[in-house]
Parts: sequence; C-alpha cells; structure tokens
Amino acid sequence: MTYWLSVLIFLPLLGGLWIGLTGHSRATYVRWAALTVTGVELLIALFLWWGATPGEGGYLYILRIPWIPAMGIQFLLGMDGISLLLILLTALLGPVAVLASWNAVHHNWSAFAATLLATQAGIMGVFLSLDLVLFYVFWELMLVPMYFLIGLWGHERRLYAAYKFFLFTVTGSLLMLIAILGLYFLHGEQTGIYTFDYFALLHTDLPDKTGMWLMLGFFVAFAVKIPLFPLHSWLPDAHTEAPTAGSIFLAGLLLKTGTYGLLRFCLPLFPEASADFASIGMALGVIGILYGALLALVQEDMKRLIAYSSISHLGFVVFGIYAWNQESLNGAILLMLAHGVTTGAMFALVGMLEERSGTRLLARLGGLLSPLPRLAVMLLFFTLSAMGMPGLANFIGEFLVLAGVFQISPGLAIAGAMGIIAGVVYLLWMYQRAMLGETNNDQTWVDLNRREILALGLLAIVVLWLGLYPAPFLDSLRIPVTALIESNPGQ
Amino acid sequence: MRLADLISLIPYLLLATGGLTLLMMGIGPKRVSTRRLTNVALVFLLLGAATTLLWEAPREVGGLLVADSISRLFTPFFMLSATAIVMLSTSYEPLRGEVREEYLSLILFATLGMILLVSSHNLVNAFIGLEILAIPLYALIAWRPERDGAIEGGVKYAILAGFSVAFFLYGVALIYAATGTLDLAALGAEPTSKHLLPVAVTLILVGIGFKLALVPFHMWAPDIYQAAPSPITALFASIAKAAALVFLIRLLCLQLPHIWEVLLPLLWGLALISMVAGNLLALHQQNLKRLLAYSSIAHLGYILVALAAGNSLGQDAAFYYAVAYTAMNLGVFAVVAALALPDHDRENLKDYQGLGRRYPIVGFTMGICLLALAGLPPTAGFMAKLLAFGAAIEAGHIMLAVIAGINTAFAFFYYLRIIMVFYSDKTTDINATPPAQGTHAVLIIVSLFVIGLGIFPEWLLESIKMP
Repeated sequence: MTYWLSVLIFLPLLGGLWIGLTGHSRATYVRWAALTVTGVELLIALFLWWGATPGEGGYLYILRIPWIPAMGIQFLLGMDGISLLLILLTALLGPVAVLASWNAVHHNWSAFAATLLATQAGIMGVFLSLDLVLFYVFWELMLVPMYFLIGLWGHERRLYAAYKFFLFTVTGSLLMLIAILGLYFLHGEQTGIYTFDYFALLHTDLPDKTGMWLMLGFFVAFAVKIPLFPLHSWLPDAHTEAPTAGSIFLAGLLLKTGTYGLLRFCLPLFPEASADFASIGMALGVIGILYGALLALVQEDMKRLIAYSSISHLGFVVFGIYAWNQESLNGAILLMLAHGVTTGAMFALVGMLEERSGTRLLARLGGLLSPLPRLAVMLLFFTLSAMGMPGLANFIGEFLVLAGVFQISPGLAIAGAMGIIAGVVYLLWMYQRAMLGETNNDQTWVDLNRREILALGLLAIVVLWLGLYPAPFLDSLRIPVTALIESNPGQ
Repeated sequence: MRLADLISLIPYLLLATGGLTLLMMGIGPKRVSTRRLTNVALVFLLLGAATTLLWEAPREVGGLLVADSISRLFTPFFMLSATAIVMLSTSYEPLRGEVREEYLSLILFATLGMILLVSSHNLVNAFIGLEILAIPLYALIAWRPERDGAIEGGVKYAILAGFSVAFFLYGVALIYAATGTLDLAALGAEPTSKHLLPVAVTLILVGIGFKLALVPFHMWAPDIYQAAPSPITALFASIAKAAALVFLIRLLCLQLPHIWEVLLPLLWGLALISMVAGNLLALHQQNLKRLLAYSSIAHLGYILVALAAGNSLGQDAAFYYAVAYTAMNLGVFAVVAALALPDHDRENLKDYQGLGRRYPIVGFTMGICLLALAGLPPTAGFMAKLLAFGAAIEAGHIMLAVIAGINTAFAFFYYLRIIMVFYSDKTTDINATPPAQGTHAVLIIVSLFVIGLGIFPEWLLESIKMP
C-alpha cells in the first residue's frame, strides 16, 4: 500500500514524459491522455484516503527506501492528515487544469501537458517527502516546469514574469538549502548520526540563536512562496501572465506549499524559535491580509485582482498558523483547501471569460449576465465563497482562524476581520463591473459548454462539501494538529 | 621494472604510440581516409581507457606516477571524454576536411598530458604533464588559421600559458630549495616550520589558477573560448581544466594538508571573487561561448568554496564537482559544436533561437546540461553544489555558503535565459545538415551521465575513497 505514495509522484512524471515524447502534433490524443493521467491520479488519491488508517505518530503511510546512505539521504515519503488533504487538493486540481486549458492552449499541447504533469508531480513530492534533501529536490523540481508554463504559454509580458517568479523563489530556496545543511551538521555533531531524516531531526537540540537563524532560512523560502509582504511582488505578475492552468496551479497549489512548509518544517523543527517569532509571523499575516485587500480594491485586471486577494487570503492562513492553537490551525488548513478550490475555480472562470471576450479588464467587461448566464452563476457562486459566505468553503476557515486568534489578541483579530470586509467590497465590486450593468459589446456569446461545467462542477461540489460538512476533513486533521500544538513550547 | 609497473604504464604508452602512429600514417604516399584516422584515434583512446581496469591500485611507479583511486577514476574518464571530443570534431562543420593526422595526434598528446598530470607523484612530472597538455592546445586553438581571431587566440593563450608555467616552475624551484625533494610523498612528510613552502605552493596555485581561469587570472578565458573551434573549447573547458583541478586537489588535500590549512584564507578569497565576478560578467553577456566561459569561472569559484572548507567532505566535494563540471561543460559545448554553421560557430544567443525545438535531442541535452550547471536537482550539478555548500557549512563558513547560494540563484537567470532562447517561438535559419549520428550519441551519453551521476552519487563518492 505504501508504494502507492511513490506512484502519486511518478505517475504524472512518467505520464508527462510519455506524452511529451509521443504526442507531437496530436493535440486531441494528448488532451485525453493528460486527462486520463490526472484522472487516475485523482482516483489513486481518493483510494489512499479511503484506505487510510492512522499509524505511528499520526502518519497514515510511510515509505522508506535508502538512497544515498553515505550522506544519510533517503527516499522517505510519508502522509499524515495534513498532507493527505493537500494531496487530494493537488489531485483534484489536475483534471480541472487540463479541462480548463482544453482549447485555451493553441500551440505545442504535448509539451504543455508534459510541463503541467511535471509540475503536479513536483507538488505531490513536496507534500509527501519527509527527507529534507528529497523535499528540496521536489521543491526545486516543481519550480522549473512552472517557469516554463509561464514563460512559454503565458501572455504578453511572460518572460519578465517568469524570471521574476523564478529568481524570487530560487533565492529563497537556496537559503533554505543552506539552513537544511546547517541543521544536518548540527544534528550530526550532537548525535553522531548524519541524516536528513525529518523524524530524527525533530529532536535536535538547538542553541537559541542558531535555531532562530536556521528557522529564518526555512521561513524565507516559505514566505516567498506564500507570499508574505514584502516578498510578494512576483505573485501578481506571475498570475497575470500565466496561462489559465498555470494560474490554477500557482494559486491553488504552489502557494500552499509555502504554508505547508511552515506547518511541516518551521513549527515542528524549530518550536522555540517559532514561538519567539510567532508575534512577527502574525503581524506579517495581518499586514498581508490588509495590504492584499487594499491593493485588490484598485485593480482593473481581473487576474491581478484575484492574485491580490490570494495574498490577502494566504495572510489569513499565516495568521492562523502562528496563532498556533486548536481552532486557528484547523482553520488555517481548511482555509488552504478552500482557497485552493475557490481561487482555482475563479482563475478557470477568468480564463474562460477571456477566451470569449478577449480581455480581462473590468472596464471593458460588463452586462454579461444575460448573454452568459451559466458562467455568471458559477462566478457568483465562487465569488460568494471567496468572500466568506457562510455555508460555502472559505467561511469555516476564516471563522476558525479568527476564533483562534481572538484568544490570543482580540486587536489583531479585529484587524483581520477588516480584511474580510474589504474582501466583500472588492469581490462584489468586481462581480458587478464584470457581469452586471450595461453591455458595451455586441458580439455573439457562447455560454459554458459541458466540459467547462464539468470542471467547475467538480470544484463547486467540494466548495459545498467544505462549507456544509467539513467534519471528515477536520477528522483527518485531529492527530497532526494535536501534535503541532503539543510541540508549542508556550502551551 | 616489474610487470605490474608495466601494466600501470600501458595507458600512457598507448596514447604516446597512438599519437605517433597517427603522424606516421600521414607520411605514406597514399592519402588515408579521415574515417580510418578517426577510428585509429578512437581505438587507442578506448584501449587506453580499458587497460586502466587492469591496474592494481594503489601502486607507485618509479617515484614518478601513482596509480591510486584518483588516477584510476580520472584517467579513463579523461580518455572517454577525449573520444567524445574526437567524435565532435569529425562532424564539426567549420573543420570539415581539417581533422587529419596532426589534429588527432595533438588531441591524443593533450590527453596524455592530462593523465600524466592527474597521476603525477613528482612535481617535475606534473610540470611535464602540464606542458604536454598546453602545447598541443596552442596549435589546436588556432586550427584553420584563416578563421577570425584564430591566430590571436592561439598567441594569446601561448603567452599567458607561458607566464603561468613560469609561476609554476618558480614555485617548484622554491619547493626544491626549501626541502631538497620534489617527490610529493616526501614533501608531505616535511615539517610545517618551513615558511618557504606556503610561498612556493602559492606560486604553484597561481600557475594552476591561470589554467583554471580563476579571478584575477581569468582574462584570457572568454577570448580563447570564443576563438577556438567549439570541440577544442569543449576540450579545454572541460577535461583540461579538470586535469589541472584534480592535480591541485591532490597536491593540496592529499599530499600537503598542512599547507592547505595555511592557504585556506587565500582559497576563501579566490572562491569569493571568482564566483561573484564570474556570475556578474555572465549576467548580460550575449555571446554564448563567452557567457559559458564566465559561467565556468563561477563554477571554479564554487569548487574553491569546497576546497576552502579544509575538511574531507570538501575534498570529496571538489572531486565530485570536477567530474560533474567536466560532463556538464562537455555537454553544452558539444551542443555549440553540433549547431555550428558551415564556416563558423553561432556566436550570439539570438542565433540559437528555436533550435531546441528544431533538433529535439540537441535541445534536450542543452536543457539538461544548463539546468545541471544551474544546480537543479536531480542532476549532478545539484549534488555537486550540495556537497560543496555542505563542506563550507561543516567548516563553519556560513557567510561563504550564503554568498555561494545567492550567486547560484543569480546564475539561474542567465542559464534559464539560454534555455528560453533555445525554445523560443521564432526560429533562426537552420543548418543545412542536421547534427551527425556520432554527435547525437555523445549528446545522449553526456545527458544520461549528468542525470545518472546526480541520482546515484554514491558510485563516484565510493570510488574516490582513499584506502
């Protein structure tokens, strides 16, 4: 059973390679092949969820194969409740991304599918690997295909955006690599066992100052990915220029790798340093919430607007992570899922809208409710979810985060709540300008077809599920979240 | 002389006789076909590589050469790389019809110089190896002298290499003056109190630094890289540099560890300026060969980061990096050679637009090798950087490791820029003849090697373990 973990990684990788090699100029075949691979991937993820029984330390599956024994590097994969949910999200967004780019990608479908699947494989690896070098390998591996997705299939300023995205993230991750090595040698000197094994490194005795520096090394890499103010400036460009599938993966998954890194590595590996850092972390989170929301208010480009709203929502997640108690951690993880689904759907919708209207600028849209009723309803649904409508996905997460933060600092909780209010304003305003009012364009419109409805419907079901009955998700989070809280030295 | 000694000498003898045989083949009245000449050269190189399997390592031959795990690894490695160079040269358009007896024998002699250098156990022997390596290169750089800048490049290299050798010899002389011996093992046993020794080794370091194009001795590199025919650029950007590097590591780490410790601050400084300057100069370079020249300067900087750590991990890292560096550079220059136009190399980056799409294998190799140079897992380039940075951190050089990390991040910018050009939408005029079979074979083997070495670094790390 545990070997299925590696299948999750290697199926899209090899599938992508196969498609890239055989699918030259056979677009239909490539599309269906990519859809099959991502569909099978989703089935495997669901199968793993179904067959999961919590084992030692809350881990459902652990796969351990020696890789480079001389340096203590292993091929160590593990899945606990947190990674299970993120794996499900990754597997879900795979077919959605393929369906969303069905007709949107015009050239080189085989290479496009190969890069898309490689990105998915890298993200799967990030969520599964528990050996620090292996983690770094996948962390970088998901970056390169993403870079090519933006740089080769993006919009007008794609090269600039791709470079910016890559340079920001790679600088952060190299600092993390150095921190990983620092931790490795520190642990080796203390115990005589040189290993990159996550479980062994958990109990490293860190001197105060060193612990803080190492934690910061990890934190920078994750903060760039999340992205936290002031390291966020790559995100709006990357989102705006990326093709639809790229935006879905970027917003839905890549940003989550940052917050996942905080949960998996920063807090458990460096509990003391993280506890000292928690107030700064929460402050950065609240700055992100307000800053993202304020900038989203003035955006004209729909993709940019959603990109800034992502900064705001991910600020909530960081906020919740550093509040570090039961409610806030549960809320943060649920919000990660909710944001992944909602924002993925919104980027898909903007992509579909752009295919039809040729623009993403709010000033040139308007009055599309009557010619495009299905699209308008779908957009309304996901917009309501994004602004935290009770009964839909984001509400539970945001509510729990605020409830958790309130126990620590009511002031900060109020500041965070202001972000939700701003969110309502910019999202409703966006919807109004895009869909309501007078139409200023009398072309013939084609509403969503079955393929597009299938992609969005999948996400809509998950949004409803998360909003109405989050218990199964919270259930699988119970053990890992308890472990995280126990590691908090302040408790 | 015992039989085992003779067996240890076979690769050297094979290369020397191979070079002479090729020259002799040109004497006869009948013209020998280029194909046959190439085959003879390849047979000698492959035979030489195969005979190293017979070696009983470790073994010292006459106080001059040593067949230990290092030479056992690098001797066949250099010979196999030289076969790759020969195969690239034969299908390299600008030298069509010029790859004859002299050219091939010079490559064989240069290879002989390299393997003498890496397995020398005596400073005079190392000097001889260095010269046998350098002199064929003067001629090879200027091959087909009517090309633009060919003569200039050859003369420039000859003069600067002459200078560097003078430094090297001065260092050797000082060592002899201080200790009365040139045998490396005897030198290692010398007491540390002699102050002349560090000075002498520094001079040798300057001499080798010229060969390695470390900053501040790097001025020649971009000009020569540009002037030489691409297969020759591949030769001295990969194996020739690696030979000098391996000799330096052997001298410092294995034989003279006490002097190594004295020189650590110097290595630290050289590492710092080499990687910073190399990367800064490469950042906006538009000429591909020059850009790669600067990038290899930066890579030598990373290798010195490992050497400056002064621990056994640093030594392993440097050896591993030497192999990885050779393979990656061989790959990129093989691509440059494969895409050459009928009378000259493609110079500017924009001449390569869209060629990766047009020739998939070439594009694939370029992508793999550039990503490896950039240090992306799971290639050899990543493992090399992991080891090098790890060595620096183990030694407590956190600052140096952080600077190296930031440099690596910046280097991504120009490596990715090249890949983007290779896969851009627009396509420049393509070659009349697509790359030959032999070139394709070289490209595929090199890219598989770069990936394989990255996934299974154990193999190399085990084989360089000193008994």
